[in-house]
Amino acid sequence: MIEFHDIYKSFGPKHVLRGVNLTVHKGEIMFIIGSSGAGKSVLVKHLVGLLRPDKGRVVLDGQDITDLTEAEFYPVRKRCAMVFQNSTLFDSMTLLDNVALPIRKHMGVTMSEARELALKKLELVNMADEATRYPADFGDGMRKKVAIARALTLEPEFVIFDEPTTGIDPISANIVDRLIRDLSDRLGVTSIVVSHDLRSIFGVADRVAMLYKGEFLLDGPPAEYRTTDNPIVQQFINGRPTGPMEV
Amino acid sequence: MIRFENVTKFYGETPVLDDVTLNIERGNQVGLLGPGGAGKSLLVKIACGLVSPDLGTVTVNERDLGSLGPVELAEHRFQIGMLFQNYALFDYMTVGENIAFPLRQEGKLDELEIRNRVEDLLHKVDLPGIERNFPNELSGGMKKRVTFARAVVRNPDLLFYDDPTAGLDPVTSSKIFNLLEKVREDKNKTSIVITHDVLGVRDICDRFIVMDRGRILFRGDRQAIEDCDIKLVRQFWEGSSDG
Amino acid sequence: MMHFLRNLGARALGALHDIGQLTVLLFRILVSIPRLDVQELWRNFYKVGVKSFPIVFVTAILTGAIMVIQSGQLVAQYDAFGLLGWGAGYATLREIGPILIGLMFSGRVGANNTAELGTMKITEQVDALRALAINPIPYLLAPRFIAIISMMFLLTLIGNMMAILGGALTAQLLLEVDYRLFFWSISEYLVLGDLWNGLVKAFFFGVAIAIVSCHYGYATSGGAVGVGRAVNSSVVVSAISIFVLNFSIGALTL
Repeated sequence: MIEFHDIYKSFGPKHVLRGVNLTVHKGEIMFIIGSSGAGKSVLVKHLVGLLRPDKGRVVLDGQDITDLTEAEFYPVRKRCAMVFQNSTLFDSMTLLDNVALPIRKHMGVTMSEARELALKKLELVNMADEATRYPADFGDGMRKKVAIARALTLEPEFVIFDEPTTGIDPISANIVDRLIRDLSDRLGVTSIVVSHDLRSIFGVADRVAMLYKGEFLLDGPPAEYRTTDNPIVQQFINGRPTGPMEV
Repeated sequence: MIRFENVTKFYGETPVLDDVTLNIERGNQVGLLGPGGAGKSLLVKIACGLVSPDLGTVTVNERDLGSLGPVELAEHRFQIGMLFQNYALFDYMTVGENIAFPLRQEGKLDELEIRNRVEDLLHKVDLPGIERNFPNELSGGMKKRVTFARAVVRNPDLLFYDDPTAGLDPVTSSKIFNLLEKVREDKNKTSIVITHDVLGVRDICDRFIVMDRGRILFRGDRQAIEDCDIKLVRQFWEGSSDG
Repeated sequence: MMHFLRNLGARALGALHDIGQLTVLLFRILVSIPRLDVQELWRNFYKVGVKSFPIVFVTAILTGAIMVIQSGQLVAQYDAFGLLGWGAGYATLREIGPILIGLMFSGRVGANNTAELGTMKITEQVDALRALAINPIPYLLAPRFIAIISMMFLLTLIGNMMAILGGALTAQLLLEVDYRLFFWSISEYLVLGDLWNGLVKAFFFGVAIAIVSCHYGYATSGGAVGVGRAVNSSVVVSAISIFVLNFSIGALTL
């Protein structure tokens, strides 16, 4: 279970998070939505210690991780993987070595064993045929799939997906959505998905929370978003260019 | 307006464009769809004269690109507005300087006219008064709109948009598509929109092209694509991965 | 006047801040060395050492040659050809060799290192490492640090030999001084201390280039402009450090 209690975070004069509360239950697929710059990525980065809150607590399975040191955060990060928005593959390595790296570092296996395991993870996202090529050879979509494979190598209990379907074609997006669903259904993985892909939101989310002006505007199952009379949520969900929402 | 005839391009051994023949008429806004690596961006780069094909001819505005010298090619590119996927804003210039850049390069207008044009465009994209800001102070959606303003600042007849809404939320996306729709109303302009956002592009394009692995899989208007029974086209249009 | 003083103060504080951060980073890298990633270390040895070899080779040979040509004029005036090897060798081993190779190194290896780390930083690759529970200090920085220092040392040693070879060739071909006389002069007048003095310098230059380039790369922020700024600072500060260290070591070992 993941709990955010009253999180505040500012960058200089920009108050990005102003008292955010959120609880994500085990095995749940939680979508965090909101306009670009609303602070969705900022919020989830608190969970792996890439950002620290100005105020508030972050609790993971009952353990308060707010004030852990960088070194104490490493065990947390093995349990809680993150797929970044920009894929963040290492340019200097082949796709295979990118995926093999965490295996080699954490599972105490030789490089060739790590590569074998990595290849299996690449098969999961249909990228095994391209294993020996470099990230620069590929577009956003394929890189994203490899980044997902890499994040899954340590068999994490929690996975943060930061815009996993952005910039990828609808068919690949669907594969990614199904992968997220599968992780939850078959392995009980808890996922937090930052997204504004409407199709994914109504396709795979168990629960959706919309971040607006540093606070959650609505937190509930996807169906609630169709029926709500909140005009800002309505505008967002219907993608209307004009309305009360400030972007 | 744009005609590709038997255009083929190799990267190493593999053809990334495989015998593409295509005609895009003046005044059309064309949605170009397809999975990553299908050759969509490359097709647009060839039409810009940034990349030359290994085989085949490309004619834009009745001019064969293959026959143009470097100076004429530069002139050709001058008539094109291009919206890049990764913004491609110059981050050492202010927003105002970025938008004015193509005009200043051309050197036809005086400084006052340029300023007015920039101000006017920033109003159009709903970002008035940010001339003095730098790109890194803006959100993704704002940067996209600035990029759009720069792409249309010279009032080009030909516009290419490379994934204009990638990474944007639905509200910002629809703002961008609104801008594209406004351009489309001018029947002298021809444009190609590369996108994965099928929902957003449905209503703003006259014709659609679906590419896969360097080939044209489908071309036609909205009715035709809705009736099309090619599996990949269906999957794209409906956004499912079944089958 | 106040404004000037305030500026000066701000600059001094900025410099102290940088030095403080450098020291902290140096300490953190040193502590992490036992855990460094061996595979990355080999990759960096190759990248830094093997790929810098050609440029060091050319620099060294030409340096040796020019030292002989310059001192040759003086030597010819007094007909003291027996001193030619000593003159060229002394200056090369103690001063010119380490300095020139150090500057080449800061321009090629240091700048490259900063640019690479800076790019990784701004594209969130460094954060990705942390998120994969891989500590970037022993994985990214320590191997680069070790590789730069040891390759600077080794390449200076090789460069010294190349410079002497270049000197001998030039002496033979241009000044018609027998190469045997040249080598005799070197072995007669030069002591091991001269070589060591240069190598000690090379070691410290290596430390300076390594820590400075790692620091500016790892502290990069602000997009592509930030990477440019970081590379610039890295090269300038490395070069200044080389001259300051050269002076200090020279003065201390007088």
